[in-house]
Amino acid sequence: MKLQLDRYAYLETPLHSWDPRYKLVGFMTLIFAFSFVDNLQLLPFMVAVSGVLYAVSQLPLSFLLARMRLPGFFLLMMGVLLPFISGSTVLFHLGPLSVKQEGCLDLLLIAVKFVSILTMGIILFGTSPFLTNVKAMCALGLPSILADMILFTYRYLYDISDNLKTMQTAMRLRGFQGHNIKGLVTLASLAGTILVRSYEQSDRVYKAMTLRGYGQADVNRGGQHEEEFEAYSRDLWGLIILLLVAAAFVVGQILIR
Amino acid sequence: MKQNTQNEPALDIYNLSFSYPQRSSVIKNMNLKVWPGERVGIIGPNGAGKTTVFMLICGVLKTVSGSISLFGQEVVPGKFCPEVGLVFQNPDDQLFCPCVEDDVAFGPKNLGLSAKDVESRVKESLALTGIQEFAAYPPHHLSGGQKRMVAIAGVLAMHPELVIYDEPTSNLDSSYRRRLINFLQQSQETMLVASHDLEFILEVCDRVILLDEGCIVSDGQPAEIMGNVALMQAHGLEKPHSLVPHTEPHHSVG
Amino acid sequence: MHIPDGVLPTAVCLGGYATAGAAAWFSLRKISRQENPREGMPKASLLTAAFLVASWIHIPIPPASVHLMLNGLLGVVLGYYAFPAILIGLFFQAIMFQHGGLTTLGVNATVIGVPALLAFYLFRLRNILGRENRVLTGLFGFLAGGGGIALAAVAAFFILVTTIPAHLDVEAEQASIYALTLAHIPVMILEGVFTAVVAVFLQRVKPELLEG
Repeated sequence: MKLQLDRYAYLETPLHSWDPRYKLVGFMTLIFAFSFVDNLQLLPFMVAVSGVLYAVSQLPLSFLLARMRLPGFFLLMMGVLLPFISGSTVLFHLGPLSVKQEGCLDLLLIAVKFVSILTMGIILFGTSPFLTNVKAMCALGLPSILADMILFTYRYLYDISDNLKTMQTAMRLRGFQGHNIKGLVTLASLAGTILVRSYEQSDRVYKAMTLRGYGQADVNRGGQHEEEFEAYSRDLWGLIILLLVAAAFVVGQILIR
Repeated sequence: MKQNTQNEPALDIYNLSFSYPQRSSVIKNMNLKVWPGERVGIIGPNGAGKTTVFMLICGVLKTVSGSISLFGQEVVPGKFCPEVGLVFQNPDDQLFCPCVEDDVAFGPKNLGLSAKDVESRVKESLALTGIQEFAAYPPHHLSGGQKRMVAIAGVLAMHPELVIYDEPTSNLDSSYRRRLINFLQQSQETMLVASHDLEFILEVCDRVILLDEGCIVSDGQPAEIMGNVALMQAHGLEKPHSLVPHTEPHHSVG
Repeated sequence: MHIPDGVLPTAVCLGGYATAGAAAWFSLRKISRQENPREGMPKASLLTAAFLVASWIHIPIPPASVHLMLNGLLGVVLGYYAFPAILIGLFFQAIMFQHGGLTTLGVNATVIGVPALLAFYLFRLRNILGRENRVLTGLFGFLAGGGGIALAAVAAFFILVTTIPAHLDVEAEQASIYALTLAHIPVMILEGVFTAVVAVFLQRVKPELLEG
């Protein structure tokens, strides 16, 4: 299970040192601007922008491709029907089926948007440590209970998945194959056991937290997050540039229509 | 080994009794006084009630009858009491922040200290436990021994006066175990240490309490209590090897 | 059931964020009214992680294997915390595994999370008839599990089919929704059965885990 989305967060590029709050706002706006695009003519620009940003981030291409593989596969599975069912202008025939132009173009549009947005997401979360991004979200208004939940889930995800692997190995060593109804019951017991163990651990964790004062310092909390980040004018300029690019896409889309 | 120079016990348990909803009489009329600076080892078979007593001392559980006082103040269940620190048996239960630094800072932050004070406490605790290099690591990248030291750092960062260690040597390799022994021998705080590792107790503690079925069976010098074979065996324990008189050379040499 | 980026129109995505925000606000408010709201947080978080992990368990259905969504079970176990848990779970899936999407986070959370809350309400009904009864637990577990994914599937398909292909006619759209839903009935039954078995297991081993 490769959870190392911030494996390259230690690099030093303008994107890495950009104030994460501004980066989050800028990137998410641009991502939504991409999703607004409905016209093929804007696609090359989309590819160009995401390509340039990826180049600046100095994240290795292999990183992007590895993360693209599985979701790309699923998208294709979903979208492969489109050329066959959508539209009326027939390009050519494949046996009894006809491949239609509009469907192909629809698929192209979806595919390019998908890849561009994915790339942006990978850059956003790949150029800062995960923890920093969560703190940035808090600074932008994420409720603290959700932030706490995110951090906890992140912390214990590894441990619990290790638990699962250990239990699955133990099951296999005792001959479990899982190909029948009984297998389903066993897997349900496995899932249930993971839930029970996590629940019991959460109880101990809660005790450990209260013993170190969890809940005492709510007053101080807001203040401490603000101290985490210090923005310079170049951070603001970066944001303005991205917002302008996003606006360009939106305006371009509206005008072309 | 500090001598008792103060009038007030660090820990004063008086006629303590406790039951769980599913199990009655887990602790029966326990009386115990621990003085400042003492290092008390708590030994006993599994299920004797050690962890329960710790939870009662920390105010996580509420007593059924009797009272517990820490440094003269009665323990209020549910109240945050940084004077006592508990190092849990399983460090994974205690290391709940995504990185070591944040975890050690957790206690001081909740004490309401300024950001600068929090930072200095974190630095101090990491230095004390010798784990500065792991400050930015996530807990799951650490070994059992390293996690244990982080857990201890997190507790010490609150500057407790009484520290309770629940099975601190479980899952430690010999080098970390030795490191822990050295660390505890240097510590100034009053401590309670529960452990199945009897040799460890011999090296670290200056007083031992044998707990079984919720009662204190014996209380005194470590070598005396643990050297008493009949007593140890009656409570499911073995006499530590180092206390066996080595009059006959039974270790094969050469 | 996870709708990826690039597929939905921006308006739908933003609408999804609005509905998810509303549902999150609703759930958090209900949580804050509970007896000990702080206490539920570590439990919900660890269970969120546990659910993420559990959803990786392959259930072999020859010739392939399926991953279960378990949103019904989430509702059964977490109650109101199920919505924040799903929101956070989807967030992790989007950024760590690129499963689902960032623009579609709101839509996915609404589509998967609201049925989870409904499954919770449904499961709670067994209290009227008898909490301790194992058969009832299994039955309501089945309904909650199957219902949870059924609602999510129908909602997701409806949104997908009505928004993507600009060149489909209404009849073809309707037919597609029906076809997709029908194709998922075996999965719905599977989730229902799985949820029922887990619910009965929890009833035996740790009944306080069942929020219903």
